[in-house]
Amino acid sequence: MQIYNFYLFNRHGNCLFYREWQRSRAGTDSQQEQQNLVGLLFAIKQLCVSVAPVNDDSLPRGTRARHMPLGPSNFRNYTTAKYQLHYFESSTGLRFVLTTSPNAGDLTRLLQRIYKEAYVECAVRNPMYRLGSAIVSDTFRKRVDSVVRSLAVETNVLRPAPDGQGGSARSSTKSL
Amino acid sequence: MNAPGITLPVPLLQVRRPQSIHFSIYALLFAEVISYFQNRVRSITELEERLLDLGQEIGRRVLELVWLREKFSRREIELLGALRFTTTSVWRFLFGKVADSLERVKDKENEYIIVENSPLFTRYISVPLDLADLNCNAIVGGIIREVLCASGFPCHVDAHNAPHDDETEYPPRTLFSIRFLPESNHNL
Amino acid sequence: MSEAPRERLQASQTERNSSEKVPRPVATSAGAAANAAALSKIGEQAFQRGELVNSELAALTYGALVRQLVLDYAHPQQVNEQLDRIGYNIGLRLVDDFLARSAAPPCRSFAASAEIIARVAFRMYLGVNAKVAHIASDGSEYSILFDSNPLAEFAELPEPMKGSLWYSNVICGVIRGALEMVQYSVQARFERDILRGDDCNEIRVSLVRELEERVPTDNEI
Repeated sequence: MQIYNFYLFNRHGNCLFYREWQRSRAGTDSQQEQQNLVGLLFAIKQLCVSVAPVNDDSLPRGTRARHMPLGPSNFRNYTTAKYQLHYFESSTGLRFVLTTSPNAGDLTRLLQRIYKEAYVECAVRNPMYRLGSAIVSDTFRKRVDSVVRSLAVETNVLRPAPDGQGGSARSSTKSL
Repeated sequence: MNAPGITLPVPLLQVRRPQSIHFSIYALLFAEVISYFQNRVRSITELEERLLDLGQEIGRRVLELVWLREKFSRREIELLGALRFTTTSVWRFLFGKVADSLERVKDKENEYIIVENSPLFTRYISVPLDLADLNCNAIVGGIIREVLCASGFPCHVDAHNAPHDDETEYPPRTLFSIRFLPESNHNL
Repeated sequence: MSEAPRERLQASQTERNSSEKVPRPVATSAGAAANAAALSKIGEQAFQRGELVNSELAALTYGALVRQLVLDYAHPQQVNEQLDRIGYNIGLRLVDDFLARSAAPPCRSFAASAEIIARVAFRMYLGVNAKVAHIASDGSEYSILFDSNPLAEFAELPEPMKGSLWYSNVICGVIRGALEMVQYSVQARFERDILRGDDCNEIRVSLVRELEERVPTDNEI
């Protein structure tokens, strides 16, 4: 498995952090690319909301289902012939996006680790970081690298199984 | 010798179970303290001074509490004793451990250094380049200073970062250099 | 919303709101208690797992901050506002720490946030037990009650401030900031404070409105 790029967007769609490990397509306008990506993610989410069955009854009386709540949803990844895009959204609307070679399986856990071990530890707790601004901290970058590297090590060991740690989560995969 | 400063309410003298709060909330509270000051000062030096003052404010009470808890009947009358008290009892109260080392500066009669390898207050603070000189451990410097001053050893305390032997290790160590004022010697 | 289909709960009284995402949802009136116990356990575990700091150091640090504010601002009311603002900034950040670490079930509704804050967050961060009371019938307001308050450990209000300063007002700000990040705009205020001679601490939280997520337009990105 190869790991390509990582993006972190906040709930307003601003890119807080971008990191590339492997990129064969040179010279694209990265701002344009991020903008397209955000548009795509919002669209997928909206689609998920509008086609999913509604179960309002489970909500307490006096409250109504939200139109589009923030937080983890069933959209976790999609795969094309060339790459796979993995997605995790926190309840605060942070959007973690990782692109890899196809068939990497479900990497939600990895993205959650980046949330916890990199974002929470190195951005949230850093008084010099202003929320919502681009993250330039070295410690943050190193932490993202080390979490991703730990996956690379893991999957090399686990390599033989083609769908890696996919397992039951595959049912949630949406192919485009 | 009387303990200086405030008096504490009686219940403190009773034995109590040590309590804790989560590090995250403490770290964020401290972060907000820094930004509160940051908006009210003009320079890094001034910011460090404010932190030092705040540390002294805290140090005054830390000293009383540690005295009570460890049942010291009298204060340390020797300079080295007061330093050791700081690096052990006071450090345990603040950080749950003793300081990593206490050294005397070569060729200097009145200068000492306390080394802390894993400074609590700056563990998650990565200072941007334009503030590279800032050391938020100034607050600990303030606590140390107050503890020593109140024990009868007036001094200046500076906090600065020093890399570990392995330079990539984060956060860097913090050195607190303590320079005793000449009056300290009268207490010897 | 693309949620996994969940068991339908028959209960719809607000007291039982938060029973929805707990491991064993119970739809009887005993459900609320069972749910609270389950949440308390989550809170306790998160507290035990966490890296801890001496609460007295925290109380002294907070005390020094309040003292500074009292020096910087003429009126206790302004100090309350500053504490609330500081708390709000903490809350904006703390909420991510909470979501990533606590293992608490997600808030499905505003009313459900009450038990999660009281049972999990108070326990996890301050090491104290809090409970929910006085829930409004439409679920849009609730109170959080707690007895011990580590922030106020050494504090004694001087007489002239007894009627005006809310010493621990930072907690209200934290709740307001944290809930705003999960799309609930609220008001939070102290109703009672042991420091003022009340028999317990009470924070009243009321929903102002639910925020909706908006798809950003191109020129906003």
